[in-house]
Amino acid sequence: MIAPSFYHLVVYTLATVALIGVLLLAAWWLGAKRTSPAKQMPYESGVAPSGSARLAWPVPFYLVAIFFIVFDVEAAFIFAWAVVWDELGITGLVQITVFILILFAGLAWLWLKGGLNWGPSRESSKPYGK
Amino acid sequence: MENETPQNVILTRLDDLINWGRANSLWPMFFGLSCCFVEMMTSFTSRHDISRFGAEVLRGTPREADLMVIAGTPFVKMAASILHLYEQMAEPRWVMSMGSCANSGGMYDVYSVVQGVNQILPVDVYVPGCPPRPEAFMQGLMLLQEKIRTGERPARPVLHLSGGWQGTTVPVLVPGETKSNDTRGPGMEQIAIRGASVGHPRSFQPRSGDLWRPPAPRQAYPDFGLPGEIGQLFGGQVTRDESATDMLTLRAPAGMVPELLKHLKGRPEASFKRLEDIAALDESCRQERDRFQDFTVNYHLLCFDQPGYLRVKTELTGDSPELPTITPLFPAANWYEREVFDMYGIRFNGHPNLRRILMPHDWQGHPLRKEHPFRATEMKPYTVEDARRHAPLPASDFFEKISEGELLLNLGPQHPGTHGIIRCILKLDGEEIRDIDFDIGYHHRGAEKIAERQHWNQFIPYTDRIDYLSGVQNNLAYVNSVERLCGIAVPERAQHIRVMLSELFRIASHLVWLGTFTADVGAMTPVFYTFTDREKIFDIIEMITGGRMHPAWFRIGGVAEDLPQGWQQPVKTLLEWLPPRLKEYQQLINGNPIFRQRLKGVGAISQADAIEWGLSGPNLRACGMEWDLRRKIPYSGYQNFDFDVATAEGGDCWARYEVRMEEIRQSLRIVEQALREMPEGRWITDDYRYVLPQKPDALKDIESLIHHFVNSTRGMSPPRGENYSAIEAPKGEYGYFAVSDGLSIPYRLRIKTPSFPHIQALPVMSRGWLLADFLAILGSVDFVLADLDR
Repeated sequence: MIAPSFYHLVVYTLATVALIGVLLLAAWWLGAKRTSPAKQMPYESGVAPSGSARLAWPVPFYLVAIFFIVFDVEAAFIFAWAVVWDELGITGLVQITVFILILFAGLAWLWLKGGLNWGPSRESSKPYGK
Repeated sequence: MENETPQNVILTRLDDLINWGRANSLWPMFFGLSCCFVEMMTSFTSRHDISRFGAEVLRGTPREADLMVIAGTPFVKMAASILHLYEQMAEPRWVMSMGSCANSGGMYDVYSVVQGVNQILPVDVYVPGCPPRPEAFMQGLMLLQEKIRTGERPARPVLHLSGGWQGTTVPVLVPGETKSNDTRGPGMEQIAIRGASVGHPRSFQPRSGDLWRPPAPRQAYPDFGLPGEIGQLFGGQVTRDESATDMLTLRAPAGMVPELLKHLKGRPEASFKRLEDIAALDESCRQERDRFQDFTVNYHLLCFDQPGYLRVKTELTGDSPELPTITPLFPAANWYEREVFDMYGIRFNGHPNLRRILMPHDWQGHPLRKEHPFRATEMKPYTVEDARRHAPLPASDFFEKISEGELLLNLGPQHPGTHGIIRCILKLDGEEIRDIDFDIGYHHRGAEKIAERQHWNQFIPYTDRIDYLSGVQNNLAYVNSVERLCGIAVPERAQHIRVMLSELFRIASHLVWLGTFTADVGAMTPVFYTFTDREKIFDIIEMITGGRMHPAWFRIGGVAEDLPQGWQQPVKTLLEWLPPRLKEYQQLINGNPIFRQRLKGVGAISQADAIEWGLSGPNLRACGMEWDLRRKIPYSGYQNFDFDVATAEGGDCWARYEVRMEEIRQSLRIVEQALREMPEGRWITDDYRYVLPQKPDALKDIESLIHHFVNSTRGMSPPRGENYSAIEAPKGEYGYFAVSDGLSIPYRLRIKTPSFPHIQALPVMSRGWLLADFLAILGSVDFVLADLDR
């Protein structure tokens, strides 16, 4: 037999789907849906934009974003280790230390290579350095 | 409407529900045009607190907004963008017209202003005032809420049924058909326009010059050892103008100007390092026409070593004359020459980029020529079709070359970070700024042209609206120049009153700057505090002058009225209130790591560059230069006050912040001294030739009564001559070049404002920084768009 708590889950799922569905449908149906050439145009401070916005985005943003994800995902391994600390004991501690050290070496390497540099070129040549 | 669609109880209930929701959560767009917007902003801060009405969240983009408040002057150049923004708004949408300019053009019946925004947009509510007080704006909002609650039937359109109505339903008005633009009011169409406004400028009030008055007195000005030196170097070609009363004036033929200026700039001693201004004149309507050529161009130069000014005059003939550019010599001349070209059609040979600067690119004619129409009501009315036809130039037209991967971004004319309507066109490589150009003139209210049809005293209210954050400082700059031209001695009490009010306005202006600048770099809180302090200052201003932002309270020769009884108490209260607040701001801001990181070293400009680009005021002092006109070329009795000139090192955003904070403290010192040492005596000069006599005098003696009649009807007429002088306004050096042809209206009034060179120098400060830094840099220079475009 299926446990009664399963039905709770079913009801909950249906309620969620119905609520979201109603909200989406209401928004779709109630919207004025009026269009005009001006409305279709991207907003750019009150004048017509010129040129394309489909440009290669500069790498610094991409790099910082990807580094964040990489290190963030690896932090998840550390959480998993922390949960089973009692079972793994000192062996686990040694292993995770090695793991963290490798991660840290990666970060240090990135830092040295300038992978985290993200700022204006003017700053590096500023006349009033501080 | 109600007959066509029978009401039913469900739909009417739903109407009420929808209206209730809409009325109590209006979403205004973060959109402001000029002075009115500052009063609108004030209603958002603590004393007035508009969140009580559920409309406190200003939306940065039209997509999220349903209320457009036309707070300020609808400019011809801006009209296309106003319409475009309105069309990009969410529906249903409402429009509020705030202030006289938006309602009807107000006091700006001038070529560059649309005479009422209802000619291009449908308007629900009008709020009168110039500018309306925050309370008036709030009442306008309540009227709009009332209109939504009782005047709309939105249930049917929302449910996609036929019938019902919502949003603005009134039509756009058509001048001549559904609205009258007659300045005399409606119903006068059949009566021909009479009076001075229809005459040719040459015959404009011709009798006012007939009264005898003493010639313009010669001021004691330095000659820098120049007359002899010039004679040796340039022979007879460059001559000294002996008739000049305000500063040493040299006359040179157009071809000699660059060479002469080069010599003046490069002199070993007392060199003229800063180009102050280039002011042109159309001489075609002079009373003594044969004494003048067709056009005159005046170069005003400033000497730092031996504080003083020098004028170089060159006369031109022909309909579109030419003269050589001086941009290789003074980079700041670039915009000044473009302005002369735009306004007069005088061409500068060799100029790198000679195109219109203030007027729209497709404008016909040159506005400051005497034959160009003054008033918008003399011209074809501006309509929706015009707004659609005259779109601004695309951003790609502003740069010669756009490389692969570079992005063009318009920041403005409508952007919360630009504090008004200016269009910054950024060329970006990723986030980094490669180059910037500006499209200015969106806020051009034609003040210089208006001056040529107002009596000398009638123009005072227009000065208030130049730098609309510093009130009487504008009056002071103007009357100071006219008084020097006429040789009027201002009584000591009037000078003290002027200094006290001017310094209060300096504090008010810096407080607005502090609040908005910190908001630009992400701190939301300070603006609410600084506007509270500003209201305290306005309490004093209002008690003394009766006005808030635009007191128009100084007169040529003194002030409008004596100080009221009990004026000391609110001043004392402020002097006790503000210092601890300032300390609090510094604690709040100085220790904030984000604030420091975003400002230190950012947007730096060297002292040499600052001088070269014509920077003045706090921006120049932030480069370590101790230059303050109140000290160097004192006016209005500033020499009698004890204060320090605030300076800072580095020329970066942080230094500019520090200078202004210190200036607030020094201004408080001056106000304290003015309060303590306020002398007794007259508040306006007894030289009744030039001023409206004090009322008791006009009632007692016939001479004063005659002057009262003449000065309140025809207005006073200064002697023939010209005078340029500048004051140290909150934003920098602010000068008026008053040219009198002996009539009761100025022949020409050139307004040299600090924001113009400051904005021109922005690319020097901003190239190579990130887009996010640009907003910090822009905020740190402290500009007002009315000050930029006049």
